[in-house]
Amino acid sequence: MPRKEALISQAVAHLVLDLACFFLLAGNFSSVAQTSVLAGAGYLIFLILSYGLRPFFGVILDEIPRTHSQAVGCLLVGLACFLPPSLGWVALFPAGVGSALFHTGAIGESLAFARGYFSRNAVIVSTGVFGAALGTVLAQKTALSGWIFSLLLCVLALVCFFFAEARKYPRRIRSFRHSVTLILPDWGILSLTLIPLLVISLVGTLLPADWAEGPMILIPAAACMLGRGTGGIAADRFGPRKTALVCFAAALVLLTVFPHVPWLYCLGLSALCAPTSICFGTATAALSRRPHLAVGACSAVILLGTVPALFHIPLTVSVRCLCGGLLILALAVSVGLYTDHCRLFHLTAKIGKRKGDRV
Amino acid sequence: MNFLDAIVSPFPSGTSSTVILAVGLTVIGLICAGTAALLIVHFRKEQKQAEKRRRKATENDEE
Repeated sequence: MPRKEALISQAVAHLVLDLACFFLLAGNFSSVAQTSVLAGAGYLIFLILSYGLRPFFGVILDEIPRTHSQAVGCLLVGLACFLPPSLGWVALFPAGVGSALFHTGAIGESLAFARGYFSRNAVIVSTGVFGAALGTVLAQKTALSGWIFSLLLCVLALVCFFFAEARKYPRRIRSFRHSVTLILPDWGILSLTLIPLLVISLVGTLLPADWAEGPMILIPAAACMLGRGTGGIAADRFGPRKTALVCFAAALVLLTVFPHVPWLYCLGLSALCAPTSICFGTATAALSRRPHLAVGACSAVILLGTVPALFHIPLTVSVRCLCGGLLILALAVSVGLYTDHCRLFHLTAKIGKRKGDRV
Repeated sequence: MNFLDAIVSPFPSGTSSTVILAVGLTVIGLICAGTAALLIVHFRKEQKQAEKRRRKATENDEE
């Protein structure tokens, strides 16, 4: 069994770290950036640093796994929160680098210790999105000071230092390979894994919750968190193929047909976010001895999927059709990827034999 | 989830936003290309190691 302390500390640290980052962006930084263009540029810089550095940190952390990257990441974001609001532009850099370091370390480590189960990774991945929404709301609605988060992150850095399993890094990582088709080479599995992840990111960006303003953004964020968490647990219980099939089919119906009905949208968002941890696990199956690089590759794809957020794309019928097409593609790819073809062919051969006997 | 809408409105039209977007998109493209390069290097290494292992195995079989 994986250590519960490490799991809980990483999940809580993920929530607080994303909360602090988005508190910084929506609070201190937005007050410094005088125009919406500058604020957008700051957001873009943070996004590029936070997601774009993960592949490169992934390579480093796979080579030197016994670094306390999570504690260092927490400290860097804590430093960014401690800086005065007038240094909002400067604060973006430690916040972005710290966020990248923490995410690569925590998610990579969760995959390395997952022993082939998706739920451990799902628990850690799920909390971030709610933290980001909560940070945005707190920055807009309250007059909290950044040093509170600095203090909190310093404590969490210590907790991560003591509880995170970096010192007991496994020499051999048990792969998620059992859940993936065996007829494809590793690079084929990775390429196919990244397609559903890109679709999740793209559809989530193209179909934003228009009705959620102010504190209401906590509702879709909570739906996303629940979806990611339960997705991993469901994948362990029912298998990744059934989970991905049901989730993408549900997201297809709920998000493209009812994007303006809040509760159906939230259900659809939960379904859309559910296969995230499955994709992370499968990427690790393809890059078996490099879980941190798998996190980096997945993050680069997620970053690519957020590009439409930079443009004003109205929610038209054609956008909904495009999202529907993308979700069908993700569904087809997932079913193909998670089907045990060897077993399938074996069964077909058996059925053929029986039929031949009868004839 | 699109948090950009919650923090700021998407980039308005104008020269400065076009420049920022162009730079941002170029950097994102470079990151994706860099990641692809890292993955290619990894798979080539793996392939070479697998070939070495295969060669050793055939040598052992021949002996």
